[in-house]
This record gives sequence, structure tokens and C-alpha cells, in this order.
Amino acid sequence: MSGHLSIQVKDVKSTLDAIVAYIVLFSMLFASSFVVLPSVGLVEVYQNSLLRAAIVTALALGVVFCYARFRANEALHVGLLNAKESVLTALLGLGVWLLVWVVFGRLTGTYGFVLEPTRLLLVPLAFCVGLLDGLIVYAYSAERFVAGIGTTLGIFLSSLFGWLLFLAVSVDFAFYVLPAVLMLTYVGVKTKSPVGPTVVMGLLMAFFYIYFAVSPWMVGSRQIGYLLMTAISAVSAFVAGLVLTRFSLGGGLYGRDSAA
Amino acid sequence: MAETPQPKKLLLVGLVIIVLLLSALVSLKLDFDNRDMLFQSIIRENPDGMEAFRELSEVTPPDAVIFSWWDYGRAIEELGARRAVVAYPSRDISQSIAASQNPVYALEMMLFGSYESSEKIRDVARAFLLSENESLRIMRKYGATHVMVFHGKDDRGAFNDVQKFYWIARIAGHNGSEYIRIDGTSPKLSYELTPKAEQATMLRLLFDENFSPQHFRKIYENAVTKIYRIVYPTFTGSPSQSGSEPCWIHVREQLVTASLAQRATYTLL
Repeated sequence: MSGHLSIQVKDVKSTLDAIVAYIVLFSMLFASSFVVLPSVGLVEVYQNSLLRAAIVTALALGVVFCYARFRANEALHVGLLNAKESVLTALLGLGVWLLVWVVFGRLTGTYGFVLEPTRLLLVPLAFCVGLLDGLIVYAYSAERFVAGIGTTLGIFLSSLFGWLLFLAVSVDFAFYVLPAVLMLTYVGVKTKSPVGPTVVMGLLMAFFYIYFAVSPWMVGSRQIGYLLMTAISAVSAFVAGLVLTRFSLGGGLYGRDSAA
Repeated sequence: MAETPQPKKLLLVGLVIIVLLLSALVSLKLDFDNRDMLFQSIIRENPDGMEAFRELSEVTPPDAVIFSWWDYGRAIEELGARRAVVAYPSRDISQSIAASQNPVYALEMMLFGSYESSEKIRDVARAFLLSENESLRIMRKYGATHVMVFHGKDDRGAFNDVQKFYWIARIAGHNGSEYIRIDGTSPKLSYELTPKAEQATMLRLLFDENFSPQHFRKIYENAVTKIYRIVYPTFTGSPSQSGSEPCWIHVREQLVTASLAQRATYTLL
């Protein structure tokens, strides 16, 4: 591994800490897949899926908390000091991402939002799953990964692992939410507070669990509509990232005070 | 900070990749399992659907083998307690499944899905497209004793073989629009049968009030399904009833009359 592809490992211990968090989360999810929850109708299937994710993520969070205390004598990085800036930045990022994405979809007629009424009552549960997942990603593993393998790769890997829980809950929307999750990890790392991204992760999960972005011409072209929506989502997230790096929030210049 | 030794770095990279891959597999499997339960849940939520599969076990003998499109195979086995000829798609028709338009679900199906052989699925599709006499040869090949077709009008199209007919025809190597046409001009989705429709066994069973099937005796019907007992012809030229109870019926006159050439429009929604 040399040249441009070289990976800079700054701290093996930190990287391992982050990996352990995901090993705990996904091995518990795997174990939970053997538990068959009874379901009578569609609502129960959706509810069981979220409930499984919520319980497992909460348990994994507890294990990670104990591990962090035991291994490094420190708790999860909650970062309440920059909480306000973090929340505002994350909401701004989400707003820009959603705006660009929705405007493109509307103007081009590529896609629109469709409500799934069966899932409407499950919004609070979906929000909880997003919050718990956000805590693991932004309050622990992103910081550990960044300390271990650097900002870029750290953000990418922690986002990817965190996003996998979206995948486990539903692939209906998971793919095109990935760029937003990446953007949120970026916000979390730059503002040094996981509060904003965690809250927005909950909102993302709650919103997209009941509203599908559906392409009207998807049926004819099979997978192209879905992939195009994902590509536009990536462009929207990039625009959101650019906006965030150029605007100051809460009196401080965003993104200038952190090492890339 | 001291440079991390190369072997340690490689080990770490390898570990990250392995954990990432395994985590992705776990997530995909969980989603696949959830989605797998959806169709059964749609049936459970539909009183007519549940009634259909409950009645299946009442009106057919325990050793009955049910010939239907693969979508209903698992419900036939799990809810109706009868053996289905096909219960899964074949790999080559996975693009006909609506959920496969999502690339992630298409991947999940490739990784975790169960499949029937292409030959079996194509045979079932052909049996539904061919004439009754030709269909019987295929049905006999798989030991089928009964046929179940679905004419439900639910919003999701879960119990609607007419909506699935285009794909079934395509899989059988036919052009579905030669048998049935969708009227897209009307706000309500409606179907128009062509004169050729009478040649397709599936359409004869679905629209039995127009086509009067000769080798199939209807034993049950409700809002979503029609269940037929297959009456195989014997070498003497008389049809014989499938199943354990011997029963003879008269061979009916060809009922295909000029009236069938009239195009009947069936408004389904």
C-alpha cells in the first residue's frame, strides 16, 4: 500500500475501539435475526423490524458505553459544549440537502414523496432508532475512527457502518439517505459535537420511514430511477457540505478551526 | 507519532473490510427477512385472502398438489397446508418481481433468495398461456390436482393474476397484449380481452363465466380466488377427475361461440 492509496493509521487502539463498537452492534443484530417475532399484519412486520433495531441498538450502546469506560476510562463523547452550533449546523445541512434534492425531483419530475400510511404510527419508534444509531455513530465511533485513521477515512467508514442500520430497517430508502448520513458525520466531526447529527439522524429515519421517494418512471427503467435518486442525493449532500463550509454559525467560522 | 508497522496496518485494514462486509450481510439479511414476511402479512390482513387459503384445506384432499403462479406458493403451503407446484421464482425471472427495481433488494434476492428451476417456472407460465389440452400435459407432469387463480381487486394487486398476466406471458415466450389489453385512457384501470384470450388457460379460468373451462371443475370461489379441480382426460376420451374420488363428468360441447369474439371489458378498479 503505497502512493495515493496509502492509509495512514495514526492510532491502532482508537481504530479498534470503533470497530469493536460495530462488531458489538452487528453481532447482536445477527443474533436477533434468529428471534422470530409474531406478526399478524403489515403493521406488526414494520413494528417488529423497528423494535428489533431499537432494542439491539440500545443494548449495543450500553455495551459500548461499558467498553469505553473499561478500556479508556472515559465515557461516550457527548460534546454538549458545542451542542447548539452542532444542532443548527446539522439542521442547516439537512435543509440544504433536502431542498436541492426535492427541488430537482419536482422540477424534473424524476421523483416525488409518497406516504405509506401503514407506517404512520411508527414515527416515534423510527425516530428512536435513528437517535440510538446516531449516538453510536456520532458520539463514539466517528470520533474513534477519526482519531485512528484520519478525518476523511474516519468519516467515510463511520458513516458507512452507521448507515447499515438504515439498510437493516428498510432498503426502500436507505440507499439515497447514505450521502446525508455522510454529510452529518462531517458536521459531527467538524463541530466536535454529536448532538446535532444524532437528532437529525432520528429525523431522517422517522421521515423516510413513512415517506418514500418514488420515481414515476422507475417501473419502466427498473433500477435506474433509484440509482439516479441516489446520485442526485450525493450531489445535494455535496452542495450542503459546500454551504456549511462557507457560512458561519453561532459566531464561529464553521470548518475553519478543525484540521482536515 | 511512530509509524504503524506495515503488517499491523494490513491486519487492521483486513479487519475493517471483514467487519464491514459481515455487517452489510447482517443488515441485508434482516431487511430481506422483513420483506419476505410482507406478502404473507398482506394475505393475513385481507379477510378474503385468508378465507381463500383456509378454504383450500377444506375443499381439497390432504395430498392435493396445487398449480398456481409462484407468488401464492408459500401461502398455499403455509396457510393452506397443501403442496404447491412452485413457491419461489427462478433466478432468470427475478426482474419480474416489483421489489427488484430496488438494486439493494435485487442483491438481497441474489444472496438469500430461494429459487425454483427456470424450466419449472417456464412450464407453469406456459401452462397458463396454452390451451387447456396442452396445459393438462404440463400439469400432469408436476402431479397437479388442483388449480388456483386469483381475480382479486385489492389496491396492492397482490391477488390479481390479470395484472401479472403480462409477465407470465412474457416468461412463457408470448406477447401478453395479444390476449389482454390495458385501457390506459380511462381513469379506472380496465382490461380488454382479445379474441385470443380464450386460448389461454389462465384467462379461461379467471373469466370462466365467459369461457367455460372444459377440464377444470370449479369447487370454490370467493372475492379473490377461484379453485378448480383438474379433470384429466383418460385414454377413452372421457375426462377423469383428479384426486382420490372417481367421478365422471360429461364432456361439454365447445362453448367457444361468436359471442366470445365480442370484446368484454372488465373494470377491475
